[in-house]
Parts: sequence; structure tokens; C-alpha cells
Amino acid sequence: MSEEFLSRLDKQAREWAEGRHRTKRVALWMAIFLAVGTVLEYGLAIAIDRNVPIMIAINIAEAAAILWFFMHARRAWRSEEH
Amino acid sequence: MAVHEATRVAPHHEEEHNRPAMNQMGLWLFFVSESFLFAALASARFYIAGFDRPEHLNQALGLGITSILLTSSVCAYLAEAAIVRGDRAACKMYLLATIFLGLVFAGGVAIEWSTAEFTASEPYGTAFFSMTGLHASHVISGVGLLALTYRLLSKGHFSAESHWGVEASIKYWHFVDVVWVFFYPILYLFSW
Repeated sequence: MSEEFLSRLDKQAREWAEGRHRTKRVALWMAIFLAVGTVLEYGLAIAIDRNVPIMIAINIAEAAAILWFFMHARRAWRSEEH
Repeated sequence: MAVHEATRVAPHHEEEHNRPAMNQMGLWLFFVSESFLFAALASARFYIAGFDRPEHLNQALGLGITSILLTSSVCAYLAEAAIVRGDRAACKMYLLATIFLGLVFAGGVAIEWSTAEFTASEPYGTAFFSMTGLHASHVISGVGLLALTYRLLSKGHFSAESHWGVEASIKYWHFVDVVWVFFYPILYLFSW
């Protein structure tokens, strides 16, 4: 096998591993963010009587994170091959 | 003749080139239209029942099923990321996890319905059962869609280069999750 082919193979394997690592990092941070948000909401519901504004703020933050990182909202404006 | 041929071929090629963008736009327009439906029910909750909620609402169950649905969204994301890099086995594994968690969520809603201390004839009850019922029907259809996607994956469909079916069904799942992000506090947590 040529060296060029082997180096290309190695580059693809590295990119694959990096992509997988990045994905798991995003998943972990999103899981933490959503868990903290949910626990915070629950705690605020117990602690504060008039909690609607702060609850809405937390909900919008969670929804925005899901839309951006999970649903890839920015891709909606781009033409991509699938 | 050559000019006529070029005219006949060009529109088809342009349509295929625009297909990904058209797919995305169609899906997002669907999400927008569904959002109006859910928003209407959410606003009706406050119109007919204000900020009231029953004293003995099962908060632990509400928190539990919310955690399950959010976890399922993480699994769905990992499934999509797996097929993007061509890892079909991982995609199938995470899809199965998402389906399982979705079914657990639906089961939790069923338990909530059967043990609720309020009825549909009360204002809060009307809002609760209609909101959770509509959402649960979307969860069930989402599970069905994911199961179909799993089956197609098992039969060799989809790849890193072509996986719109996987992406669309998972985006639908995330949409269902986003709806619950708002419905959960509206039904269980809001007070004023």
C-alpha cells in the first residue's frame, strides 16, 4: 500500500475518533445542562410562590439548547447533502 | 435539439440539488404548525384554570418522566451522530434506548392518568388530560417512527452520506421533547 493511502486512512480514522469525542462531549454537557435546569425548576417551584418569569427563562434556555445542539437549527438555512 | 434537451434536464437536476433544503424546510414548517396547536392548549390551561393546580399532584412522577424524556433526547442525539459517521451498530443501539425510554415515558403518563385525584370535568383536569394526551399521542407516534427507522437501518438502509430518514425522525423526537420542556412546568410547577 502506498504511503499516501495509509496517511489518508490514518487521517480519516483520527477525524472519526475526534468527531466521536466531540459528539460525546456535546451529549455530556447537554445532559448536565438539562439535568441542572430541571432540578433548578423543581427547587424553585418549591421555594418561590411567584415563579413564572424565572421558570419561563429556564424553559426558553433549555428549549434553545435542544433546538441549537440537538436539532441543528442553524442547518435549516443551509442546503446539505443527505 | 440540444437546447431542448438542456431545458428538459436542467429543472430535474435543480430539484434534486434543492432536495435537502426542501426536506429541511418542510420539516421545520411542520414543527411550526404543531407548535401553534400545543401553544393553543397551553394558553387554554391558563384561561380555564388560571395558575391553579391540585395540592396532591404527583410531583415525583412528573419529575421522573421529565428526566426520562430528556435522557431519551440525549440518546437520540447520539444515534444521529452515530449514523453521520457511518456507525450503524451504535445508531441502532441508541435508537433502541430512545424507543425504550419513550415507552417508559408513555407508561408514566398512563400511571399519572390512572392515579390522578382530579377528573376531566374540572378545569385543571380538562387542561391536564388534553395537554398530556395530545403530547403522549405525539410520543407514541414518535416511538413508531423511530421503530420504523430502526427496522430500515437493520435492512441496510441509510448511510453516512444519506440518512435523511434518521435525521427527520430524530428531529421529530427532539421536537416532542421541547414541547414537554414547556408543558411540564406549565402543568406541575407554575404558581403565581
